[in-house]
Formats: sequence, C-alpha cells, structure tokens
Amino acid sequence: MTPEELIGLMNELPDDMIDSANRTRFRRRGSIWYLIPAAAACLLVGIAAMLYPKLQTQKPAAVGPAETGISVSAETTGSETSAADSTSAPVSGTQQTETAVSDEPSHRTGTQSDTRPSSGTQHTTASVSSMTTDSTVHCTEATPQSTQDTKITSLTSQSTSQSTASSANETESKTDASDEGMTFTEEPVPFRILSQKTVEASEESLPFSTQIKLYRDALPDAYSAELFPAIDFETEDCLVIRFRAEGCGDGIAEPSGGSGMFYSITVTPPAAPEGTVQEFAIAAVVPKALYSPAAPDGLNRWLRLERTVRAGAEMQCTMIRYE
Amino acid sequence: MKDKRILLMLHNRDEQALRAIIAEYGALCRSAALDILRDEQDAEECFSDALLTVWNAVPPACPENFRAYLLKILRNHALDRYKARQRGKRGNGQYPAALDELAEILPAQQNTEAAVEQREMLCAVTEFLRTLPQKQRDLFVRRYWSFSSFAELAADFHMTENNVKVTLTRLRQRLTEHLKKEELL
Repeated sequence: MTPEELIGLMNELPDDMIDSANRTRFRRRGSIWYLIPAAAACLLVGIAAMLYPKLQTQKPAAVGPAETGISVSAETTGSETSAADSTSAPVSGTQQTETAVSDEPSHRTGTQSDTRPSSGTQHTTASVSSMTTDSTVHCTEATPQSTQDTKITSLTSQSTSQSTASSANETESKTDASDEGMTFTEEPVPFRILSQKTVEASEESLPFSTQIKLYRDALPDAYSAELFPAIDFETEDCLVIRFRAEGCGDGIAEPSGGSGMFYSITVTPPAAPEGTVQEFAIAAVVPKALYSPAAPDGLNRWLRLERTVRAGAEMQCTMIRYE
Repeated sequence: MKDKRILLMLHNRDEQALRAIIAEYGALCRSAALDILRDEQDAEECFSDALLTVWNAVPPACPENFRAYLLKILRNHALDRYKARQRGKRGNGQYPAALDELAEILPAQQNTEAAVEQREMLCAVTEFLRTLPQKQRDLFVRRYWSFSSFAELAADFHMTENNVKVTLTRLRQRLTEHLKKEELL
C-alpha cells in the first residue's frame, strides 16, 4: 500500500475522530482559560497598588486592653502592693494625664488604656499593672527575645466623656497636667520603634538607659522634609519622655543623647529588693511643638516602653507601640 | 442543534442552508482546504465544490455528524484538486492521465483484493488511533488527515514544532509496530 492510498483510505476514519481533531484547529485563538489567570493577576496587582498607600497612612483602630509582650504569672502568698500614687509629669502643654494603676496579682500583664481628647485637650490614661511583691514569687516570663517582646497596638483615642465611664475603677490616681500648656493632636501617626532589647539589670546596674529609635523614613509620605523639618531629638522639648514606675511616680526621663534618627533616654527606677518584681512604664510623647498643621494626620505620637524589672535578675524590655 | 437545523433546511431544499453552512463552517472548511492545497483560491473553489456536493447529497444522505461529513467531502475535493494540480505539473497531465486510463482496465480481482486489504488496514489504523490519548490522536489526525503543517499544529496544540515532530515520529513508530503485529506490513 502506498502512502497515497493510505491517505485516501483515512478518509474513512470515524466521524468522531475527524470531528475531534478539527475542533483543535482554532485553539490558538486565545483560550479564555489562559486569560483568566492573567486577568486575575492584573486585578490583584491593581488592588494591591490601590490599597497599599491607604494602608500606609491608615489610621489605627482603637484597641481595647493593651497588650504586652511579657506575661508574668505569679503566685501570691503575701501582701500585694498597689501603687496609688502618681504625680503629674512636668510636661508642657494642656495635657491631662490620667494614670491608673490596677492590681493584677495573678497575671502580670501591663495593661494600658489611653484616652484621647475630644477637642484639643487630651486626656491620657495610662494604667499600669501593679507590682506584686512577694518573696515566693514564681515568675513565668516570656522568652527574652526581642521579637516576642514587642507588641504593637494602637493608641486608643476617645473623648474625655467616654473615658470617664471605663476609668472609674482604674483611676485610683489622676493627675491633671492641663496647666502645662501642651496639647496634642488627635490623630496618631505610625511610629516605628525598634528599640528592643533585653537588659541585664540588677540593683547595682540602675539607672539604665535605653534607646528609642525614631525612624523618620517610617513617617507617612505627607511628612516630607518641607512639612516635617528635621527633629532635633536632643532637645528636650522636642520629645518628652514620661515614665511611671512603682515607687517613684511619674517623671521625665533625662535625654541622654542621640541623633536625629534616634533618641536615648535614661530612667532611674527605684532600686527594688532582691527577688521582687517591679514594673513600670515609660511613655514618650511628641509634643505639639512638632505638630505641623499642614500634615493631615498631625503628629501626636505615643510610644510606650514597658519594662518588667526584677531586681537582681534579668530585666526584660517590652516595647509597645501605640499608633 | 445547528447541524440539525442545517440538515432540516437541506431536506427542505432551502438555500438558506448553504448560508448557514458558510456561516457556521466556512472558516473551518477554508482552513482545512488550505492545509491541503496551500492556495486560497483553490481552497475557496474546493469549499464551493463541497457545498455543491452536500447540496446534492442531502437528501437522501442524512449524516449523524454533519461537521465530519462536510470535512470528508471537502477533503476528497481538496485531494482530487491537489492530484489534478500535480498532474498538470507533470508533463502537462498526459502521463498521469495515461496511468488513469490504464487503471480502468486493471483486473477487477486485483481491485477486490486491494479493497479487502485496504479495509483491514483502515480497521487496524482506526484501532490503533483508539488506543491513543485524545491529544495524540488529534495530533495524528490533524497531520495525516488534514495535512496541517507543524507550525499550525504547534500553535493549536500549544507545543513546540520540535515537540510535534518528535511526537509524530513516535506515533508512526507505534503504528508500524501495530501494523506488523496485525500482519499488515
């Protein structure tokens, strides 16, 4: 049989084979199944490009109870010490600072609820868990790794009237610093803090210092060089560091240097007895002096540095960022 | 559904049937004819011949698969036209014409034996194609039934030309083995 004959013979092939084979003839004309993944990918890229700038400048949502990176469980068999005293910090500006101290004997979690002002005047409520002092304290501390200790939350902003309801039990002590003449803007701004470290501390090592890094490149695009001039963090009135520590009250940490990119603070908590657990919180506030009206979100930035200090033992540093 | 409508119109001798065939299968038939003839004018004329054949054949014919039926008619016309063209190129058509004249007087016995052999061969080829996966079978039929080029096959089957060639080579080898097994080679 010649090939020609075979070719002629193949004309008698079953219809379904011929039909099926010839249906493949125009496959090259763009199958939709190839277009769907491409269209989906383009759509995703478009959505991401659209949402990314918004996420960058998104205002943080209010957060209820504060989070801490350190959870200290303690069995208390003895007395509990509840800090009730708080002194107003000499912060300039019309700022009301409410510092509430609550007892949490079983779980040593630094809780914080902050309130923001309703009209120009800000009320700041910082509740710091109290210390439990006992000679038979069993501490279950979080792993002293920086990544585990850092928690990022949002600064709760609410009006003064709203804060009064929830702060009935919290405000054991209130300090009104409205006469300081400093106001803060309502809108918090993302604040990148990378100061995270575990410091070996003992009674002898106090006071200690830590470094708060304020990365300017983390600022929203709106804060360009024109709107947000260089900050001299070495100037005290540019960055107010407030801290509250058990037994020493509120105060302003001494700026101990830094550059335009970061700022170092030194705090001096009271020396705690051996084997005790002591907590205190440090809040850094950028005053209105840095506020640029042209900036849409203002520059009210809070950061809170919490440390759990167990004198004579290692000291863990937990940073909580409030946006 | 469309095929049934076309067949109904053909049975009713409605000339709209031809327009419907052109609309539905025009591109396919032109493309198939062009694969064989490689000339657009010839392909168009071949398609017209196929339409006339269909018009004359239906009725009484009533094909179950109208698309395949139409393609077979088209292929026959295209091959006839191709052979005629080849004959014209060779000695002005006298030599093949003489062969054809001699073929008419060949003994009928021989033609009968050849017909039986061809029938067996067709069955073997069909059986072989049934064993192939759909894609390979379509590839084989497109190449040796529709005479599509490697480039066209590569485009239609989303393969490289080299891949098409290799696949067809292997298919031919398997067909040879199958025909030997059937004692047809």
